[in-house]
Order: sequence, then C-alpha cells, then structure tokens
Amino acid sequence: MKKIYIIGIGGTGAKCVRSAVHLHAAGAYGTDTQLGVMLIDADASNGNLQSARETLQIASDACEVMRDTQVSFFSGPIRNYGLWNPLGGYADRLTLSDIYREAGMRSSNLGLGELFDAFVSPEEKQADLSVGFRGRPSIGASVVSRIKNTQFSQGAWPDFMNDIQADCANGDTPRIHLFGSIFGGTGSSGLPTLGTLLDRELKGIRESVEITASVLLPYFDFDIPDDDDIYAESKNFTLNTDAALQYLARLAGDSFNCIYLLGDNVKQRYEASTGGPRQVNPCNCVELMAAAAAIADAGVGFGNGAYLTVSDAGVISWEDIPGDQTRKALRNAFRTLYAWHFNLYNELRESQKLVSKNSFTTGAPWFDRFFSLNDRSTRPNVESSEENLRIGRFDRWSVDFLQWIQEVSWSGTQREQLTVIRQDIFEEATGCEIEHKRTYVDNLDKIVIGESMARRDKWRNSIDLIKNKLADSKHRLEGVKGLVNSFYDLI
Amino acid sequence: MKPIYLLGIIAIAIGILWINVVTSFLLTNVLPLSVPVVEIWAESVYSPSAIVSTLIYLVLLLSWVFFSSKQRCKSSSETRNYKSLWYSLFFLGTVCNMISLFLFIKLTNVDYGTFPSMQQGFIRSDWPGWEFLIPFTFVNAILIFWLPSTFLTMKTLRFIPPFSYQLCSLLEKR
Repeated sequence: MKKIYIIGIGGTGAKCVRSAVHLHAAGAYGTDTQLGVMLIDADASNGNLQSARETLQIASDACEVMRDTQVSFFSGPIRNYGLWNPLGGYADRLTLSDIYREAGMRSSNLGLGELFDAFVSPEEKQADLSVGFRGRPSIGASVVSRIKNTQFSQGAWPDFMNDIQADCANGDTPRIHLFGSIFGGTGSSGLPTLGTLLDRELKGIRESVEITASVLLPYFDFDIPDDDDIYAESKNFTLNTDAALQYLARLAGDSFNCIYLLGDNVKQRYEASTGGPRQVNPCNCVELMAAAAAIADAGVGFGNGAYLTVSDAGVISWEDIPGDQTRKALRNAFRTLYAWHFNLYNELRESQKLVSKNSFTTGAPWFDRFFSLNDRSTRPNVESSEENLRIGRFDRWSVDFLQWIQEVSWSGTQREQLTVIRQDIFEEATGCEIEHKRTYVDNLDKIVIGESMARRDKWRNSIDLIKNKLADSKHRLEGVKGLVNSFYDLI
Repeated sequence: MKPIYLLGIIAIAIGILWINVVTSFLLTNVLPLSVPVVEIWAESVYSPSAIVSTLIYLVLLLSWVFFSSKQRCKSSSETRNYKSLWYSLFFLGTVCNMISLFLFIKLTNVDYGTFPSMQQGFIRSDWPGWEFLIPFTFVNAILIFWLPSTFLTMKTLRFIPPFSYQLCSLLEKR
C-alpha cells in the first residue's frame, strides 16, 4: 500500500489539503493508497482551515462506509491526525513577547533582550497571534521552530511519527508532502522550518522516507484589511517570497527530495480579512495543481529544476492538470458525482418510496443488479439502515466535492476551462428523508469542457445509456458502493 | 447479437406461423365454422386477413422496438410512463386485427365455384365462428406482439412489456 502523509500549513495549505482529500477520495492518488492528513495553523478559527477540516471529516465519514479495495472511490483509508496549533502550548499567552517571556529574558540577559528587539518590532511583539502570524514569516518561524524543543511530542505528532516509522519498518516508502504558501505568514515560516525539522527528526530512516512540498507562490491578493493591528499586506508578498525562496535554496532545500513551486501570473482577488472565520476564500486551480503534486514522481537529475506550464496562457484546461491518472480520475469522478447528484440520488430515494421494488425495476433495469427486490435476494436492501447511511454520507461528500470543483472552475480570473457548472446549485440533502427538490439531469456532454462535441459522443454521455450498461451485466460490488464505482468505471 | 434477440426473432416466427398456419389449420380442421366450404372460406377470407394483420402487428412491434432503442429516460418514473404506450400499441394491434377480419368477411365475395352443394357461385356470410375468431385476435397479439416485445425491447424500456422482467430473469439469472 502506498502511504502519503500530507501536511497543510496555514490557510493556503489547508485549501490545498481540501483539494488533496478530494483527489484521494476520487481515486486520483491510485487505488490502495493511504492518506494521512495533518493541518497546522495558529488560527484555529480560520475559515479556510474550517472548510478543510469539514471536508476531511465528510470524506472520512464517507470512506468509513464506502471503502473497498480495487475500486475508484475511497479505495484507500484516510487517517486524520487533526490540527496542530503551534501556539497550543501557550493557551494563555498569544503574543510573541509572552511566548519568549520577554520580561524574564531581559532581566536575566540584557543582551539577549536587545537582540530580540533588533529582530522583532514592537508591533510584532504585541500582535495578537490568535488569528495567525499576520503575514509575517519572521513571527511564524520563531514560533514554529520551537517544535524542536518539544521533540515532536505535542498533539498528534507522536502518532504521526510513529506511523511513519512503522511504515518504514514494514518496508514501505512513505511520502511526507507539505503544502503551504510562501508569501504569507504561517506557510512561508512553517513550511521550510518543518521540512528541515522533519528531515533531522527522521534521520535514521531518511533514506526510506520522501519529503516533498508544494510551495505556492503569490497567486492571489487582497485589499488592506480593516484592522488596527499589523496585518498581511499583498504588497509584501513578493518580498516574503524572495526571502523564503532564498531560505529554501540555501538552507532548507536539501531537506526535501523535491519541491514543486506553483504560481499564477494573474492574481485572484480575495476579500481582505485578518484571520478568523471570515477568512474563507474560494478554492483555486493552483491549489488543485499543488494537490496533484503529492503523487508526482520526485525524480532525480533535473539540475536546477523542470518547468511545467499551461499550454495556453489565456486558458487553463483539463490538459494542464498534471498526471494522466489524476486528470482521468478527476474527470471521471466529477462526471459520476454530477450524475449522482442530479440523477442516481433521486432514483435511490424514489426507489425507497415505492413499496414494490419490482415496479421500480421495470423503469430502472440497473436497479436489481445492485439492490434486492424481495427477501429472497442476497443483495442489499436499498431501505436498510446501512445503505441509507451510505447514501447519506456519500451524498454529503459529493456535494462538498461538487462545490469544490465549482469553486475551482469559478476561479476569479475566469480562465479556467474545466467545467460548465458555474450556475448549478449543489444543495446538501437535509438527511435520509425522501426529498424531491433536486432536478433530474440526463446528459453529461456539456459539463466537461473540451470533450465530446460530436453527436455520437453526446449520446454516449447520456446517464441513461450508462445506466443501461450497468443493467447489462453483474457487478462484483453491490449496493450504493457497487453502483457508484461501476458507474465511474463505465463513464 | 445477444441471445435474447435471437429468442425475439424466434418468437416472431412462432407468431407468424400461429396466425397464418396453425389458426388456418384449426379453422379448417378442428373448429365448427358455419360456412359452406371451410377450406375455400379460409383461403379466400381468413388468409388475406391474417397476412394484413401480421403486417400490422409487425409494423407495430418494429415501431416499438425502434422507439425503445432510441428513447432516453431520465428516471424510472418517466420510463414507467411508457407502459401506456405499450398497452396502446398492443390494443391497437388487436383492434386492427378485428377490423381486418371484419372487413374481409364483409367485403369479400367468396367464389365457391361449382361446388355441388352450392346453388350460386358467390355468397357472403356473417361472422362465422366469431366466438373463436375474437379470442384468436388476443392470442395473435400475445404471440406476435407481446412475446417478441419482451425479448426485443431495448435499453431502458426493456422491462416495460408486462412480465418481461420475469421472463428475462428465467433466461438469465440476474
């Protein structure tokens, strides 16, 4: 089994994690792959972080009931290591001055206090760090680097490190992949620092562990936030990036097997916010590309690096998503989940409503391939609590996935030519009750841009035709699990 | 070709044989019809009517099969709505069969020629043996429309003909 451990650092890192979890659940990381996820942020209430945690929880719940080997959706487990807050050990002290015990330091060693003054401005010393590192890498680095004093003993770190060591003992080659921006505060300070510290901590097994990172260069900006305190400013992004890249190149680069730098020449405009729940930005194509890098071959011998760019500067299309496997899996998963949302889900709820499953099957020849029509059948009963749970959890994840890919295809620059679902509304079902609010859709020919315009292909893209193929033969898996995975394989 | 389609073609052949050969045989040799010469009546009246009825059934059947091969349905309930179309075609075939019989009986002058028992060459008759002929139209519809349609209906509409799911389940363990 392939083992991938991803760590999202800061708001951008969390958004990349959200993309990575969706890619994994959609089968883009390959079958039989285990994904371990850890999030790192000093601002636990950050909206981007909350979105990622929610996605992680939704996907884990769905994985719990849908997981099976040799299938496309949820073929590998998801291990959630939770959130590690670098300020977690300082619950009552949320300024840099308190964390470094400035008063005590100054009284015991005046020189050290003056050195502290030289590196840290008075505003930075007193800034409330409960909303993150405020776009200042110097603040973040000084907090995150204190992890080495704790020997990775805080939070979920012991479990995380033990699992990696166990993998190596079993002969696996786990990969640790870090996500973070290099132009803000938390990511630019945490990513190089953590990479270096992990490299040192895993010294004994370093040959068996790959440490890679997706480093995001400036791809968005925002107005000056309405904040009296110090805050992240987009005018500093280039300076922050320059400093962090220099640090990576000179001091931290050797800690990584491979670093993927990602960026965009056109910046997406976000609303200004200094941390907290209001800091929730739509997902971006760059984050999807960053997530795809988690399984990219680390490679050797590229010298100063290999350069990958979109084929047309004015457009981002499916062809620009790196990796054949990722591209194919994402496209198939998207089409399957769209069909699920606007057709299969409605059908299953409708079947639950009908007393006679035989009657339902006369209009849905695929139904009896996956569900029982009477008590004599060994197939799952669509009304059973297990299948109901599967329908509910899978649907919840599918809504989150569709909202995510909709945001990706909405990306502010409007160059993304991936899907035409911008006007669709994906609403979560209110529970397991039967509801008919969703419209029925049959044709998939227009939802993936750049695909199948011929009339023959439009016919092939009919959900009805795929359901007919499902009806033509038996399937290894039955129930909701069998239905969605067989649909994915045929689409 | 799927084996089930082969069964459909065999079912059509059985239906054609039934209408044109077996029914003719039953009318001339088994059933008591009130016509002067059953053989001549069957040849002059029943056979042309049977050919026309067969063609009507086949046109209706092939139209249904073609329709089923082209029709796309979004949902099970939408698909089930086509049951009414299937029943309409079934009853249309039966009614056409009856009308065809009626018209041939009423409008055909049967030439009994110099048959000894006949006083005149041409006579018309009322519905001879209607108590057999009317039920036969339903049997005809079942054999040449319903049975082939259970095997030949395609794609999503495949289980719309009554009992087609049960028949298909007998042939293939689902």
